[in-house]
Amino acid sequence: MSLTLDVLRAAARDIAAAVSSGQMSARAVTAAALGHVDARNPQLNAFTDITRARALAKAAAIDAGHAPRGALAGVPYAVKNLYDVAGVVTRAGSKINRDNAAAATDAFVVEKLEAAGAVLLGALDMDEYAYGFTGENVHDGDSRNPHDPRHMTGGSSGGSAGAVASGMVAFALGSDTNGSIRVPASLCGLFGLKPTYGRLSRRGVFPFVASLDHVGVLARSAGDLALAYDAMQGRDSGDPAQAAREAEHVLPLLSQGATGLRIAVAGDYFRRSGRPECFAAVDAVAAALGATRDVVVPSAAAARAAAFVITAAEGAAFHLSRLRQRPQDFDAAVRDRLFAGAMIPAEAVLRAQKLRAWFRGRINALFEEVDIVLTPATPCRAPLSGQKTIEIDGADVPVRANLGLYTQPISFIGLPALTVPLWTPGEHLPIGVQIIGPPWREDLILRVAHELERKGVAHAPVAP
Amino acid sequence: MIDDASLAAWCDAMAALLDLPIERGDRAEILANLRLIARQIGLVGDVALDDLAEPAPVFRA
Repeated sequence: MSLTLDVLRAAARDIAAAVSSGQMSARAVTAAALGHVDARNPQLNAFTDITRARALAKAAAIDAGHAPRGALAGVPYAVKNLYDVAGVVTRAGSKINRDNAAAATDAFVVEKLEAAGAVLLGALDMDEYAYGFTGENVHDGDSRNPHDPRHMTGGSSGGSAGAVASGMVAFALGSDTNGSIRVPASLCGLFGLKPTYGRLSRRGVFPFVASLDHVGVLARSAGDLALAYDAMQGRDSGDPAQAAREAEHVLPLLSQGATGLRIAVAGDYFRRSGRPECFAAVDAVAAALGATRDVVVPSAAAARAAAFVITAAEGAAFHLSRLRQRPQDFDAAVRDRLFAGAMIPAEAVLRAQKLRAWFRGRINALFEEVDIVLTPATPCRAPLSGQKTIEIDGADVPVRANLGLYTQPISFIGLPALTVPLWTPGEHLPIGVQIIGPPWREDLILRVAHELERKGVAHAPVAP
Repeated sequence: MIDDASLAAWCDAMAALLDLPIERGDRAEILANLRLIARQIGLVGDVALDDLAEPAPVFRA
């Protein structure tokens, strides 16, 4: 059977359609994707583990009719290396976890993707224990931006972004505690979805900050995000934070577009502390959508600060035994932040949790008046790999602390949010805009993203 | 604003109480992170919250 589709650039839905109809074999798709991984990964360092035998066996099973030809039949994908993959050690970007036994079973959402026919190619590079926004890792090496490997991918789902932007896979799973899907999606020119907190099961995903951790997906179109997201939905008693909601599929709703939605641009906090290109990108999206309204997200700086405090304290508490027993095996920058986080007084953490409930109430009131809020996803395009500061408003500010400036207040209260990629003529690196919706309305943000794609405003080309 | 001496004393006391081997890390970096955290705590404190405000629900029975 010959290839009739460029599987390295094709949408997941087109690959699945070709495999399901018999136009292409899953084996041919998988072999092409693995060949591309072999060619590109040495430069981009997206994969830390390649599950070649598993991928080829799954493809053969699909072709033989022994595995489902579901909505993702034959579609190659990969997962951040904090997801359990049967037979693979869940390293979570760390040196320490490599001493653990290999996972016995797949994470819940991986099981769901497998049931839909997707073909797993492997596990992906990330910031150590997901505590970072750069995609840099002292143990596994830095993931590199496919659009210019001198630049960082962003993180912590850096390998996930690199794998999708380079065409090695059609989509990849990431995780997002403070922006770790939305930031690399912005820097690598991808669509990146962080669903509502509690929507998707996190069973089999190595935690960072349990009260803030989300699983999600990066892809090259809103349609592919919706396809993967729909496949991963489902109730699971194995994640105590999962909400008691049935699956609410979004793919059939995308064609409704953005007409009739009340869309606003966030001002104040979200119009400060960024480079001009991030605000220009928001304005371009607003103009395309006919959005003329401005809103103020109240106390966004305090919300971000509270997310910072909870992250530091809860992350440190989770890693306390490892900090005591193997401090030398951490990335020094992660270790010293966790040491400091362990020393935060309880009153400060509880006050941050009180602010969280209060802030949620204020934002719920805001969403009585609007359906969608637009903000920058990141304050700048991708910095150079290893770059420590960026220039904003004439001052040099730290890269690591500022890449999540606009994402942290949003995940703090678990709102569904999505990055769409924009490209400026003459610039070879993209920048993302964050589309935010009310709780449980992933359908709205995906409809807006799809509309922007349809209008040609947002798109995610495979890096040359 | 917490002064550097107080922050350093807090760091050393907490490290002893929590049995944290901070000598295996970079104390100056830990103190820099504590200064950053103290600023964030200050920002959180700038929002007036009622004494009876409930924290975000993180547990469901």
